[in-house]
Amino acid sequence: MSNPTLRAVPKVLLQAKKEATIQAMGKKDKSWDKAWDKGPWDKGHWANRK
Amino acid sequence: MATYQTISTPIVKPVDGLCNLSCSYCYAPGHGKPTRKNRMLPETLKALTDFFCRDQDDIEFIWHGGEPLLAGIDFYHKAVEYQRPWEQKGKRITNSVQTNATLVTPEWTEFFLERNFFVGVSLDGPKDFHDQVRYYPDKRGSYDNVMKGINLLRGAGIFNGIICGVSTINYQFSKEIFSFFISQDIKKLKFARVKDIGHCNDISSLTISPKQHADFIITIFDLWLELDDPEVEIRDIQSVVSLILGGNKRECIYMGECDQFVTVYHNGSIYGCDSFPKTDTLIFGNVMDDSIMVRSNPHLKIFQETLIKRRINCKTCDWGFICKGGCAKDCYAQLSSTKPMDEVCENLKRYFEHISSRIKSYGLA
Repeated sequence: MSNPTLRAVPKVLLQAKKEATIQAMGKKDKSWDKAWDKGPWDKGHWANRK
Repeated sequence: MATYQTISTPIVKPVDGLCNLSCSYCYAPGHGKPTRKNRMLPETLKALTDFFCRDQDDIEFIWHGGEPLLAGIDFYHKAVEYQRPWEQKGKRITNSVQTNATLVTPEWTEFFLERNFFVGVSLDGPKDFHDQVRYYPDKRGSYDNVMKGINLLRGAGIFNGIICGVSTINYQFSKEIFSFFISQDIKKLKFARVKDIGHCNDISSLTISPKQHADFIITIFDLWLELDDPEVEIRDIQSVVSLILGGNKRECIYMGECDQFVTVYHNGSIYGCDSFPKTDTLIFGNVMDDSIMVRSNPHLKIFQETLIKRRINCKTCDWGFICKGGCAKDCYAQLSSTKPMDEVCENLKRYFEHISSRIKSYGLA
């Protein structure tokens, strides 16, 4: 019987968990490679970091 | 990923504080046309390029203002030209520009696209909110022209998100603001608290407290979670989420490395982060100077020692792994303070605890 309090994990958190795991392992996600190669972590919107 | 180095990321003001707008909360007010007095000259631009490219492999130039587009397109052609020899030597160079977008034309978008610039825009939400604070010197709101600029950038595929100033005008309308951005298909967001960092005018009627900002951003977090669209990127929130989950996405305010960022003015002078506009005790030198001399400047050494003390002080806190002493400006009453302000800490902790508890409720941390 399923736990009534258990909810589906939001996709945004699953994605964050995946990215965090990859970072913790010191690896790069292929989809990030271009951005990583260009500079900081967040896929190019450090344009407005300040 | 680029390795941390002191004085490595320049926030460049090619026209000093000059701007075609006259936003109510701006800390760098200045109007009129660029003149020799407030425009960065080619020899300074060349020295700036060489200064930052010489000692590091990954360099990000952040073109800021005032309104950086007032420097003119030829200025940026020159900037790219000066960067080219360094790129040929294997340096990886990124250019980012933070603009109000009102001066964007097809010529600019073509240039940005060709030269691979990242372009961020300042937009404070729906027209009613935005036009109350971001207007021309004659008080005409800038919203319509900002959106025209955004659409041009978007059409060229080079729109990289917005900064939304959060002030007394809009902080109680987090839901409306979030919905607005999503409805406009603007999905890369940063929310910046309007605060007094040494402005020319009295902006006390616009500044919000750390508590008000925490309330705002907590609501935004909940809305982000509820919407659950992986394309929506809210930098501060995703930084905190990443760190709680064991990752390492860090906004500059969670790096504890504020000496990495410097402001370079049109005359080549190098100051600390732009959160401390033209602060005498944070002037480190000039791009014309020898970089070793600049990096051993006594002002810099004092600042670095303070940052170290702050990090040590915050190590005992459960949340120190996130904030690492926090923003050198936001969290401390004085530049020399080593203990953060209680009000800031309390509200940051409340924000971190909220996100953490939501993540834990899904069994993820």
